[in-house]
Amino acid sequence: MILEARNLSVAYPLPRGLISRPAPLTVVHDVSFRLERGKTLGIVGESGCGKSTLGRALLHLLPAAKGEVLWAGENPAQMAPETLRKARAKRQIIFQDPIAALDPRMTVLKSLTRPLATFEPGITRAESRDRAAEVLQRTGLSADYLARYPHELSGGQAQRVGIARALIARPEVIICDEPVSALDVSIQAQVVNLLLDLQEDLGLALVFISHNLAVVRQMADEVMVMCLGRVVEQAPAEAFHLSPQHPYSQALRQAVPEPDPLAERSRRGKALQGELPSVHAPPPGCVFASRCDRARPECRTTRPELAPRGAALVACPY
Amino acid sequence: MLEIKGLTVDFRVEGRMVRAVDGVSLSIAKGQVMGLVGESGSGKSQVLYALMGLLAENGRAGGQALFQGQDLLTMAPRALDLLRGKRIAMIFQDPMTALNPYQRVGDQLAEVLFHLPKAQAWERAVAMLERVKIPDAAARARRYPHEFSGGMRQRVMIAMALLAEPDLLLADEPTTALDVTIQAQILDLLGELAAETQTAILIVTHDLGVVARLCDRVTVLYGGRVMEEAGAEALFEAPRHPYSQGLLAATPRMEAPLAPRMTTIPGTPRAGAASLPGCPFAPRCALVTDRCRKETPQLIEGIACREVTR
Repeated sequence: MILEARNLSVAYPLPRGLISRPAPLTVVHDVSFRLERGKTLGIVGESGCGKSTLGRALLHLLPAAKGEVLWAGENPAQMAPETLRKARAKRQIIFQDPIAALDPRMTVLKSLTRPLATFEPGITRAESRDRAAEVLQRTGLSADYLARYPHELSGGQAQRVGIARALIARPEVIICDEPVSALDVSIQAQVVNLLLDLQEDLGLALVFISHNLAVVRQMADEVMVMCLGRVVEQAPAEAFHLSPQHPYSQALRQAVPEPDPLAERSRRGKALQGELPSVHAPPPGCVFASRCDRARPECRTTRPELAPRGAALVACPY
Repeated sequence: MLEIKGLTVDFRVEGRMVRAVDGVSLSIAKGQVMGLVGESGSGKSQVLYALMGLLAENGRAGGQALFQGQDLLTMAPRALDLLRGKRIAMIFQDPMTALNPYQRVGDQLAEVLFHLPKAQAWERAVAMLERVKIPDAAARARRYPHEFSGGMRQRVMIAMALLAEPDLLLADEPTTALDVTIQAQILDLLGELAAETQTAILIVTHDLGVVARLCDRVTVLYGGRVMEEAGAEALFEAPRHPYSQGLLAATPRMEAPLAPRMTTIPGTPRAGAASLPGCPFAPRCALVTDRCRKETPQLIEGIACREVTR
């Protein structure tokens, strides 16, 4: 298993006041999954659901508050510094805002070769330039782009550079945090296909974080739906898209506007009502109860655990 | 209600004029929702800014934009002031930057009704917040924008736009920054509004799903020019322009058989296309001919492409 989470929880220290000590605010609760080479885990959910925090914890950029992350069976928190540095090279990330993710004062060449300076300190200049040109070509940009600065790139080109930078250290896992959300539709499809091609050629395992279910459908083998830091459903992608089980998954699915006016007409006036509870005051019961039209009194008091239903795990007993 | 004829927008950049919008024409009737669709750089937002007199300092609008018979583009600033915020309202993509962070939400809303006594204006503001489904509106009105979630801020913006009961609402990507569940709420709200109050809406978006849910008609922009204008159902069922076809094919769907790869439009948009002769989509088009590169196709019967109308 190239990447695994076991009952992983992640917390941020939350300042409480001048005198009292910061209290941890847990924003990701009890996440478990196993990801193989060449496969994609899609993580979906609304803003504030903890999906990006989870992504950072999987890279060991944030510590686990409880549970553990395993990189090819080993816990990065217990690695010796040198082993950790080598292991980090194999785990990269791509960000949502492709231009902000690049240093405006660095040429593409410099941005691309920075990871090599860290992960392969002995490498010569000529070698690292060749590697940069090679990964750039893999992402569909010619070597001419090596001399450019981020402001000279379009969003789509900058995201290709972001992907090339993630590839240069020859990773096994890439965390893609909303990699196409900021791109135009015609460019989004190109970048999705690029990620699929790279995955096929290089056997990459991907964690694809997105709020766009239609894009996740194209990318993922397994889907994990998060709400307020908790997994409410985890299922093989095909089964999930045929029939999402949790009421929250169903609501998300209904909310994605389909480019089809006839189908959309029947959905008008049926938007999910109610407000998302605050992460600072999570409800004692089900995280979705305040917006669920099928909620029962016990849903507001007792939190349902993830339990198997068919091929899926669903945190809703009804 | 609104009739735009041959709208152009030019910007002075380093001493020369660069065209961003080239000859956009469209009209919207009472109670109608028109979607203005395009990708970044297509000029779609500049169309709205031109109508509202909000172009950047170096920008200049040409052509005509008739609102109830008066040309918004040549109107004296004072006359325009009498329309803006009253007969014509606008909502923006990012409600946080469009609201005043130092002022209570209720006061910002009540300000729109400055001609009324203060207590009465406040009452109307609270009623409008209720109408856009802000829970506990009377208490919420005393709060500041940062105490609202993104979806609620957008509803506050809509409430503010509606207070003056405008005849025309201009919406610039009003749901792009929101989660899909909140987006669905806001789109429902705008739809109800158009139906109930007969407000005409011109909504700028890059998302064809949004158009499908809300709009009656669609204008597709590319490189500052109109490629196609059609009824929403007709456009989705049988897009005619190669760009509309490509855009629709590249939009990911939930309810369609899944192919191993997505359909793409090759290439990238060309910067400054509106300043150049020829069809702006020509470099990415499968049907391109030499003539497409030299001669700008005119919009005839809703389509600007000679190759598909021949």
